[in-house]
Amino acid sequence: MTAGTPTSGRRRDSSASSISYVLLALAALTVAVSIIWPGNPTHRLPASWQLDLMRPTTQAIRYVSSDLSIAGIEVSEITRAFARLVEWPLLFVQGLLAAPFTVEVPVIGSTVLPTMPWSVVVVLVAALAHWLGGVRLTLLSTATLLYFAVLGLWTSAMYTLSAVIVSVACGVVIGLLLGVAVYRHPRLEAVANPVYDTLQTLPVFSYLVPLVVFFGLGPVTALVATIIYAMPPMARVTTLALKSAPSTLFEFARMAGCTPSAEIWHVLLPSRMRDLLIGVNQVIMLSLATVVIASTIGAGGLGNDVLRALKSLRFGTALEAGLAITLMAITMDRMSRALATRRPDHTRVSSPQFLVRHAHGAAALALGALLWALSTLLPQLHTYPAEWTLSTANVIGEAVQSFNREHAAGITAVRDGMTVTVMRPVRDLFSAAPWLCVAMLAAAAGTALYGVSRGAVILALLIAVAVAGLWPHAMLSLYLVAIASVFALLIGAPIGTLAALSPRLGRVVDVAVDTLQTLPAFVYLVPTVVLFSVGELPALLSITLYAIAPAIRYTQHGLSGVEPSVLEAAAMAGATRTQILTRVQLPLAMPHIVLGASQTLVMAFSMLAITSLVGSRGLEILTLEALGKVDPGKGLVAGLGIVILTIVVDRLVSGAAGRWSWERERERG
Amino acid sequence: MKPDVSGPAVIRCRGVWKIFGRSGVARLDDRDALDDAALSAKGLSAAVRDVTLDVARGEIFVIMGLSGSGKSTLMRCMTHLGPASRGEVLIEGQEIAGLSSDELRIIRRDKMGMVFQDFALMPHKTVQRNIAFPLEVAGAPPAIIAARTAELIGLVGLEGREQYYPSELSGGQKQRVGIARSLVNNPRIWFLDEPFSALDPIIRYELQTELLRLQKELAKTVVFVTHDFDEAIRLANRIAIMRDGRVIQIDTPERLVLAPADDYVRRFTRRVDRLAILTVGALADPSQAGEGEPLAASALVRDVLGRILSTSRGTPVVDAAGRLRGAVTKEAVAAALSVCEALP
Ligand SMILES: Nc1ncnc2c1ncn2[C@@H]1O[C@H](COP(=O)(O)OP(=O)(O)O)[C@@H](O)[C@H]1O
Ligand SMILES: [Mg+2]
Repeated sequence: MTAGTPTSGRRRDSSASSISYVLLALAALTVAVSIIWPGNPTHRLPASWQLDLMRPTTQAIRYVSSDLSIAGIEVSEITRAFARLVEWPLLFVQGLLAAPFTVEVPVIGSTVLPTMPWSVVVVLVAALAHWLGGVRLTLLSTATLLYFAVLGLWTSAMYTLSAVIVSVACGVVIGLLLGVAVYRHPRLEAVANPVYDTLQTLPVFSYLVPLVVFFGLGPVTALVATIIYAMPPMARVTTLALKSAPSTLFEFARMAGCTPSAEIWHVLLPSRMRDLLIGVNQVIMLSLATVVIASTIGAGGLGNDVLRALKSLRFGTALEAGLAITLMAITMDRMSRALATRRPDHTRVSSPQFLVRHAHGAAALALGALLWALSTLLPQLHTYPAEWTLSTANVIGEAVQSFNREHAAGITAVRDGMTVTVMRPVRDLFSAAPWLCVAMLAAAAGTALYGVSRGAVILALLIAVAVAGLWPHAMLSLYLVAIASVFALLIGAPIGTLAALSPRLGRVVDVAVDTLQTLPAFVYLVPTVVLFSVGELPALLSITLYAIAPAIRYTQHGLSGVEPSVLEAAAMAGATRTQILTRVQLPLAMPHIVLGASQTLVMAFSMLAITSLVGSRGLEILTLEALGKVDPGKGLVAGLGIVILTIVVDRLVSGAAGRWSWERERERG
Repeated sequence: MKPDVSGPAVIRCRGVWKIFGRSGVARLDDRDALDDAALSAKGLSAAVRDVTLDVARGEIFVIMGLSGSGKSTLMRCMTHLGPASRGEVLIEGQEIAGLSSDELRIIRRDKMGMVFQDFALMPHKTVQRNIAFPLEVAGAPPAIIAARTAELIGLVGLEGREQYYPSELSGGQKQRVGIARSLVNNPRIWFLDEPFSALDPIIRYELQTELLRLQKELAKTVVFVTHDFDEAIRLANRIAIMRDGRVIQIDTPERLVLAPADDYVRRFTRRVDRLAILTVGALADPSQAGEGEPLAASALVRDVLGRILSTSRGTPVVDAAGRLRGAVTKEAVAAALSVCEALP
């Protein structure tokens, strides 16, 4: 999400600030009125003033999906045709990796596509990893695949992997095409950017529902949702890469006589391959995160394993499958980053002989073919034998349960303590506040930061939330996000400070934060549910864990980014280390830290969407309920409610960060 | 010594203006007056102002000026990469603004080559593939591409580096690739925009020498942009000096030194090594006859200094046709060399 720039001091005219004071006064007035007259329209918007947006939206979508026809062809036929088109590559890859797949071949009749033996998959992936990043990457990827096999998660993992592969392929192609289109027609940018933002802010369940209406419940829906969610970074990176290509390269292409499309596809894009591959890395990681969530709607895969295990309190299994997702994420991240950071090297392509040039790949393919042939004789090489699997699920499950039993008192104390001292009071505050008061406060802040018109937009958006009847749920979402963000900052900022003070700790923290950021959001649900079972507390803690990375990172970078000369000057002036930290470094790093806070909030909102799976009760639960009842209107409207909350909160906090650093600049002259 | 060239004009610029607005290319009305007041009233600025010049076939035409004086912009008007806002540009007699985009593409592809200051190599292709690229675009047969690429690699001395990637080359080597690539389609017009400015002085000198060697062999029509007056002097048949978008003088290096149009040009000429530029023809005094064996008018003073100094009555000078042009005296040489001392 792009942060807006707060207006400069010159443009923050007196009318804006007087209007924001008026808004503040009105907010105070609503509080006073609500104390005297609880339940008045500014306190609780009466049902008769609300507008049901959900039912008409649902009806409209249902009409389009089942009754509408364009030029004599029913929309449902088109969507079904499209579904088959997308389904085919998915079934093909799944057939290759996970389950046999029957294809209709015109002359021969139906043929079953053979599934690749697990041993062949291991060899091919290891070869790829070695080519990409040498021995360490080979070890990592082999260990990951063996983990899947040994713990009996092979088939689930392969389902997840196939979905990721197909989604990444589609996402990259679509992203490239969109990115190029936006580059060629810069006016599209004004549309494209907000659309990308919304697509990525909308909770994944929200657009799963309409997709279910069109494509039915199943793998295609999950795949389309994944593609929509994971594609925007590729499109953005493509446009940006094209824009940042040196102008002389563009001129060279022109002078060489390239056609406009050759210019883009043969010269500019390949020359920015590194940027594009970083985009691919993001598509891969987002695809995995989404595939895991989407698999809970019946597509099968590791995410489904985790959720089912959590729901039936099989904690050992949940942890095992959760670790499988974690390993897969880390491996995919490292492999795709290795691809992005490869440097061109002439020694790799020096031989004109095709086989010599590709000796590595050829050897891997030969070995794979050999293993495949052998697997017809040795079935163990084909399907990993069940008796070789070894699950620690029971042991871990036992351990977890006995831990939970032994520390039942402690766990209950924490749960109750948190509920009574923090969660309930904050929730009550958020729920009791008159809706118009909250909206006015936000509008006042928006007006002060950005001027009257943006303040008005913020007010209108929040009124829309109330009118749509989403206010009570919105407050339940907001209170979780607010507490989680504060926790994330309270834990993250000190860790970031320590990391900035000690370079050795800093390196450790760097690796840890990197890893935290590669993990799919879904994984964060596992440990907290294992410890506290379902409810709002584990939801809160999962959000906190997920949102902690930017709090740590921005604090650390803010502090270590302070000019060494400034620190030396302070030391020469005789300041102690603590004084330097509190009087020099922290104030200078403050804008960074506030920026980290706004990132923390955005992360918290994106995690919020899936905590409905484990028992949070805000807008996000509406999106999940909508999925269960296949009610696309409810899903979309509630999802847009989350989008509005995210955008408003992000703008206010990042605006405050911008204002802060701007005022500091001015103070310093 | 540079060959004397005065062929027909290959590139003609007639009253060329290039005008920029605050955001890129500005809309300009045909009736708009082009003076500073009118332009700045519209928020426009002129990067090239009323340039008229001819580039003759086979010459090295250098555009020299300080950074920001509009050299690259003028060159972009010639290649139509940044079309002129006013005036006309003719390439081999064809008005370039009147061409369709396909015609333009083919003219650029077949008739023009270009070298860039930052090399503009494609990082994802090897040296060989970079050089071959223009031919691939033109759809040449693979056998011809291979042969021609190998020839160019030999011409710029990059044998053995065919499979290297640009990131594995030094700056000088990169520009050799750039030069080879710009020549691979055997263009008749060769544009070079500050090709050596990013290189160390020694490499720069080496590549200048190389360029002169190539030009002797290939006889292209060359438009060479530089901000380095010494480089201009060394390479040019003629130099156009630019300042604030205007061409203030177009002349041979020798004429620039002997008859600078204004103080701005004179300041550039002050530190040049005159002995390396001046020819005896330029210093010959027609009213004198001199004595002894005559000198060729095109001979550099530096090469015959001993003979000029050894006589007191001057040495006769004859032009290429053998006609007597007068005599060059010690005094004339001393006067030409001491101009710089006389300046403030
Ligand atoms: N695309 C453009 N938009 C606006 N102004 C430009 C553009 N390109 C060049 N200029 C301006 O035109 C002037 C000449 O630029 P340029 O031709 O690049 O100079 P040189 O090559 O001599 O260093 C400069 O003042 C530059 O700022
Ligand atoms: Mg330039």
